Amino acid sequence: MKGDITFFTVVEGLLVVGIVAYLVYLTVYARMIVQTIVEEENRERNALNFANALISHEKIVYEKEGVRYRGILNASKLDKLFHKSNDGLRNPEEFKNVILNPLHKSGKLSREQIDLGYSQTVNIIHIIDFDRCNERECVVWSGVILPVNTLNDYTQDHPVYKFFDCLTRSFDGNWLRPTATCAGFAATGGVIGSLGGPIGALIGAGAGCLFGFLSNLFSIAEVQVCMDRSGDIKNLYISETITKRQGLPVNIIYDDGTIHKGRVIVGFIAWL
Amino acid sequence: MKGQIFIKWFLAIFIISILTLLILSTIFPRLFELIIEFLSQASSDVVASQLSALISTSGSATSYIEIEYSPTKDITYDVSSVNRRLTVIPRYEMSFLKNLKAERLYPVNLTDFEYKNVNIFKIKKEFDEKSMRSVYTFSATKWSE
Repeated sequence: MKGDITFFTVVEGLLVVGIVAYLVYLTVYARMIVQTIVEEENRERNALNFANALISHEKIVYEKEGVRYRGILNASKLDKLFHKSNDGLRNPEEFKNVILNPLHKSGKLSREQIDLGYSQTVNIIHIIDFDRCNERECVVWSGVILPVNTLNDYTQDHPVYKFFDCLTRSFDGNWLRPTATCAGFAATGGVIGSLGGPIGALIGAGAGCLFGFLSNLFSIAEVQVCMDRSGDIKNLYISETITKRQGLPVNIIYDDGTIHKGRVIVGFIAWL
Repeated sequence: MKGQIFIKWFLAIFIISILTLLILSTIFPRLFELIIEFLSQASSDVVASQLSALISTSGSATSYIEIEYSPTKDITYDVSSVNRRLTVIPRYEMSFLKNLKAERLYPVNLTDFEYKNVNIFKIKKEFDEKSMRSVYTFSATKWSE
């Protein structure tokens, strides 16, 4: 009779259920395989590798009896290599004149000074001493590693020179605009802030701003104009990795033997 | 009578289908796994990525490190580096796979090099006390049984 449950109907139903279950199984399995293939952003990986090599570099690490200590930075070596700021580069004029201004040689590093760096990449480095960072002072060592062999190669014709020269001219010193958008860099503020309460959070936000300068201090149009003027800089890429937002923890050792907590923050600007 | 023959055929096909599905469910995933494993280990993109990462990682050693990397015995590569840009070209036998070139960057002061038909790579970093600088060396050979 029509509608009766027969042996046939049961087998047919089981077959359908089996095929559906198998298809689901295959789909899930395929998805699991795909998920294991991690697609890493190469440049983010580059930034991390660079930061790790930097905190082991002989030009900045503490050395005693022929042993170099990874992650322990020598304050005297930092003084020689980087530009030292006592107010955490919170002064817009200092930021403009030191970091952006291509003519300012202090803190500008070629491969002769420190032989680290990728081709077609500029690394902006900030090393913050947390134990000397409060509302009165904030010790930060800053440097820009340029993709040139010597600073003599860093001339007006160099695309990076043209790019930074253009940014310096565009800089209007309006610190309020990036400060307002610093909330976007709460990751830095959160991590660094946890070390120093509300003041730490403010410093963290400030540090975040330093590295968000291209996105916060300049409009996309301004950056595009500077890229066009540079000639060779196309498809600018600014790292968003943890090395920029939070940095790597380090210790900073001074000549009198005192050891301070610090953090190395690496900004990564690459182009094709 | 006709119905009985149909049920027999149906059961036979059903059982064969189930057995086939069971076999395929074991073979196919394993096959996929092997293909993916092979591609993940041997593709020029992965080899270039691994090599550049290992070269960069050698920079994290403060004094001395020696790293040996052999992605596969079955495929050889043409590897070169110019201005800290690493290029890897696999030597696949299949003609359509021949031009799978991959490029990666590394940040350390390793001098330019070029090796052909190799699949064992060695990276060495040591600190030269005279010049007070890190010296990086790269060498490559072919796997021999």
